[in-house]
Amino acid sequence: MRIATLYISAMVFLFSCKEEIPEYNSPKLELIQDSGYLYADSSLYAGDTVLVKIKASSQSDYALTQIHIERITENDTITIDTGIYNHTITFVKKIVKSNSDFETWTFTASDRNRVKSESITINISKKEFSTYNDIIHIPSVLFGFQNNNEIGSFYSLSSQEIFDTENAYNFQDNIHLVAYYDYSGDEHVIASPGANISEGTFAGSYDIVNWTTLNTTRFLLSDISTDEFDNCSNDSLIYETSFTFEVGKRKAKNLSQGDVYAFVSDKGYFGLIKVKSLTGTNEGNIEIEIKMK
Amino acid sequence: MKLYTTIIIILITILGAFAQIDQDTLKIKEVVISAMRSEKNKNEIPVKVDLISAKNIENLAVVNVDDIFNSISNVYVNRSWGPFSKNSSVTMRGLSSSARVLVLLDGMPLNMAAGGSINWHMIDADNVSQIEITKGPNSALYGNNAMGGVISIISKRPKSPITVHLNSYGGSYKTFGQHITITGNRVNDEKGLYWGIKGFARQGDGYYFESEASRDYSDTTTYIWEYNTGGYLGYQFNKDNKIEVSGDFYDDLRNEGIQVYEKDGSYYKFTTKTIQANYVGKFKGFEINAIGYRKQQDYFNQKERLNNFAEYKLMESSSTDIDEGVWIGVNRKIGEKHFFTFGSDIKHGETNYADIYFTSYDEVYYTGAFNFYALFLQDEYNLNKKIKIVGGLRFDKANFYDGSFSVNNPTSETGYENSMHSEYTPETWNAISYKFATNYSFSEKVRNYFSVATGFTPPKLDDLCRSGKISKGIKIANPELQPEKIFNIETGTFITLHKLEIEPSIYYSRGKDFHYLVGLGDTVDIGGEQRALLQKQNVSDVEILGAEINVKFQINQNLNLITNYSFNHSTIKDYKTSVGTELTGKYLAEVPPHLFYIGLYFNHKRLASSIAFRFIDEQWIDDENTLLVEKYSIVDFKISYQINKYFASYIDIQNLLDVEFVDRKGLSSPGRFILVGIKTDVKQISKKK
Repeated sequence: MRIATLYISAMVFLFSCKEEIPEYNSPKLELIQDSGYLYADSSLYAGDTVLVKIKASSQSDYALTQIHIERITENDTITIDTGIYNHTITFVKKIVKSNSDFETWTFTASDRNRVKSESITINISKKEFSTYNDIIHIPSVLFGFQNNNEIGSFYSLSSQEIFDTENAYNFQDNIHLVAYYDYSGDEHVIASPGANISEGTFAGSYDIVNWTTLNTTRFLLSDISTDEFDNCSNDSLIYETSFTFEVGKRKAKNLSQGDVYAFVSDKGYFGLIKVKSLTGTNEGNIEIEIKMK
Repeated sequence: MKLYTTIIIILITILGAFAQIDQDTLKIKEVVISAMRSEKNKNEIPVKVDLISAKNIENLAVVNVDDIFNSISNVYVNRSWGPFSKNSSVTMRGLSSSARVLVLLDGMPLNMAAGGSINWHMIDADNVSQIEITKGPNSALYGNNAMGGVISIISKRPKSPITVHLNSYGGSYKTFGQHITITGNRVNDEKGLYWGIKGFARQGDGYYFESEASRDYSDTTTYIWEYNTGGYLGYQFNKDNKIEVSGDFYDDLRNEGIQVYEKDGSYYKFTTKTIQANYVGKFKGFEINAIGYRKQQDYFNQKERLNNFAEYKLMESSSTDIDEGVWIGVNRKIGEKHFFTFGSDIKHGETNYADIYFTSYDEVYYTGAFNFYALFLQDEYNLNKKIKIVGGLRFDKANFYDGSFSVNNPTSETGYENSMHSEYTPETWNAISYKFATNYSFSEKVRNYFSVATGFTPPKLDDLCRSGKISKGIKIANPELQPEKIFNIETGTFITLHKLEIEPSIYYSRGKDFHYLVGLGDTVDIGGEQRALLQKQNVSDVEILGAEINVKFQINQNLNLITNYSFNHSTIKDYKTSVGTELTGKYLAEVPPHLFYIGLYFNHKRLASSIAFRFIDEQWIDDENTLLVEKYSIVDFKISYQINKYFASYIDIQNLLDVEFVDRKGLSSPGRFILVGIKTDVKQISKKK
C-alpha cells in the first residue's frame, strides 16, 4: 500500500511538471557607423543606393534565428524575413531609394525563443526636385525555349546578347535571364540561373545544375498596363514599380502576352519586362521588351 | 474476376469437405471479451477473431508491440523505420490508416479524436496478457473507428503476492532498453488489494537514411529515447466486483535524420498521460463493465532545414490533444436463449494546435472539439445448440464545436496575405450502425459464420479545422466533413481437427463518403514555390473484395506451424468530383493486395525458438497510383533459453536477411535488427492453507 501511495504521488508530480524558460536579456542591434554606410535619417534622390551595416548579437545562450526588415512607405509595407543561426552576425542591407516621398526602414533581430531585440529605425525622405533620367530600352529580346535549336535561351543584361546553352555555360558571370517551358504547371517561364531550375531542363553537361556562378534575378508581376509601359521614357515608372530584391519571386511563371513584370537583379540591374509574344512549348520562343536602369 | 471465383470455389470446397468430419477435437476454450463486449468462448461467436496470448508474444521477435500483428492475417503494419519510426500505421482488411481500426487498451480507446492515430510506443509488450483482434466492422458495439476491426489489448494482472519482472537488452544501432514491472496481489478469499508498478526506458542511436557517400552535414541518425512509467491499483470486493485505477506516463524523442543547427535537429516528441478507472461487477443478474478515462497527448515537432536556396528555416508544431469519456456496458441473460448487451458511451475529444515559425513571425493556430454520445443494444439469440443469431444496433450522435483557425503575421512561409481569425459553425451528425450475424455449428469441429455489419470513422479534427502546409500542397480545413461509412458482408468457416485448425473467410465491403484530398484548382506561392490548394472531402466510394485463410498445425509436441494468407482488392468505385485527377478505378493507397505469413514455432524444455517468413506485396503509396513500393519479404527469428528458475536469455532478429525496402517518402529501412536480452522473473508463491 505504501508503494502504491508513493507511486501515485510520483505520478501526480510528473503530470504537473512543465518546463519554463527563465527570463534573460533580449538580443541587441547596433548600427555600425563606418564610412560608406548610412547610419542616420537621411534624404536621397529616387534611385540613390546606400548601404546600412548592422551588428546583431545574442545576449544569451540562444542563437539568433531571424533578421526582420520592414520598409514602410505611404503606399505599402514590405517585410523581409531572413533565417539565420548565429550568436553574432554583421549584415549589410542595400537600400535603393524608392519613388515614395518618405520611407521608414526598421530592423529587428529575434532569437530561438522569438525574443526580439529593440528595433533600429532609419527614415529616408525623397529629395525634392528628384530628376528623372534616361533608361536603357531594349525593344526586342527573342528567347528560344530549351529545345529550340535555333535561338538561345539565355540573356545577358550587361552585354544585351542571347546565348545558347554551351556559350552561356562558358560565360556564366554574364547571364541574368533564362527562358524555358515547364511541363509541371509553370508553363512559359522567364527566370535566372539562380532560380533552382529543375535538373535536366537543359540537357547535357551544360545544364544549369552544373554551373558554378548563379546570378539571380527576381520578378514581381506589375499592375501597370502595356500602354503605361510603352509610354515609359524615363526612370520614374521603374522606381515606382521597383521592389526590394528579397521580396521578389525567382520565376516569372505562366507568362502570357501583355504581362508586365518588374525585375531586380542581384547585380544591380532593375527595370520592367513586357511579354510581346510567345509561341509553342519547349521548342517554341518568347519575345520580350525591356526597359531598365 | 477469375481469381475471386477461384477463391470462393476453394472456400466452399473446404467447407463442404470438412462439414461432416467428426473426429477427436482439440477443445480449446479461448475467451474473448472485446468482440461482443462480454466474456465469450471464441468458438461460439459469429465473428472472425484472432487471439494472441502472452506466451505467443514470448515466442515472437517483437521489438515494438505492433510487431506482434505481423503474424496475423489481413493486418498490415507499416513501420518502415523499425523501432526508430515516428509511429506505425496498423491497417486491417484492406482499409489503410490506423484511424479506421479501433484500438483499446484495457477497454480505453487509444485512437485520438484529433487525428485518429495511436501511440503504439507507449504500450509495453512485456505487460500484455492477451490481444484480441476482431476482424470486420464492429461499430454496432463500439461506434467510432471500428471500420476495419477492433484490436483489444489486455494487460497482465498479478496472481502472486509479489512478482518482479526485469528485461534488459541491447543490440543493433546501440539500442538499449530496460523494462521493469513489480506487482503485488493481496487478494484473499476473493477480497483484497492488487497493484502494479511498471516502466521501461529505451534509447538507440538510429541509422542514417543516406549512404556515407551521399550524406551532407545536415544528415544525422534517427536516434531515439523514450521512457514510460505507470501503474495500477485495484480492489476486489468479492468474486464478482472489482474496481481499478491506473495511470501511465510516456515521453520520447525521435529524430527525423536531419540536424542543421539546433540541438536534436528535426524531431518528433509525444508526451502521453493517461488515467483510467474500471469497474467490473454483477448486480441482480446484471453484469456491468464501466470505464472512465482521460488521455492527454502533447505532440511536438521541431523542424529545421535549409531550403532549396540554402536559406535556414526553423519552426515548431505542437498540439495538446485531450480525449476523455465514460463507457458503460451492461450484460443480462434473459431466459435461456437471450443474452442482451446494452449501454451508453460518452466521449469528448479536443485539440489545440500551433505552428510557430522562428525564421519569420508567422503563427498558425487551430482548435476544435468533438462530443460523442451513443446508445447501443445487442441480442445474442441461441436458437438451438447449433444456431446462434446476433443482432445489434447503435446510435451515435456527434457534435463538432469550438472550431477555430487563426493566422498571425503571415509571410510567404504560410502563404496568407493578412492575419486572420475564423470560427467554424458547429456541426452535428448522426450515425446508425447495425450488425446481423449467425453462427452455425455443423459439429464440434466445424462451424460457419455469416455477418452483415456497418462501421464508420468520424472526420479528424485535423481535417475539420487545420489549414496549412502538407507535403502535397496547402490543405484547407473542411468543417463540413462527414464521417466515412462502410458496409460489410462476410462469411467464414472454422475447422478444428485433431492437430489442425483451418479458418478461411471471405468478405465484400462497400465504403461510402471516404475522405480524399481534392485539388481546389488553385495554387499559392509559398516562399517562391507554387503549392496546390487541397481539401479533404467526402468524395470517394470504395469497394473491397477480400479473403483470408489461417492454418495452424501442431506438427508434434514441440513444433507448431502457423501460416496465413490475405488477399485484398481495394479500389475506388466512384470518385465524385470532377476537380483534379480522376481516381475512379484506382487502388487504395498503402494496401498490399497479397500478404503471406508462415512461422515455425519450437518449444522444448528450456529452449524456445521461432522463425517466420512474411511476404508483403507491392503497394501504391499515392492516391493517383503513380508511386509504387516494391514487394518485399522478411524473415524474423527468435531464440530464447531458460537458464534457471529466474533467468532467461533471448536473441531477437528482425529482418534476418537484411532486406532493404523503402517507405512512402523513399527513405530506407534499418535492415537487420538484432536484440540480445536477458529476462528475470521472481515470484513469491502464495502459501495456501
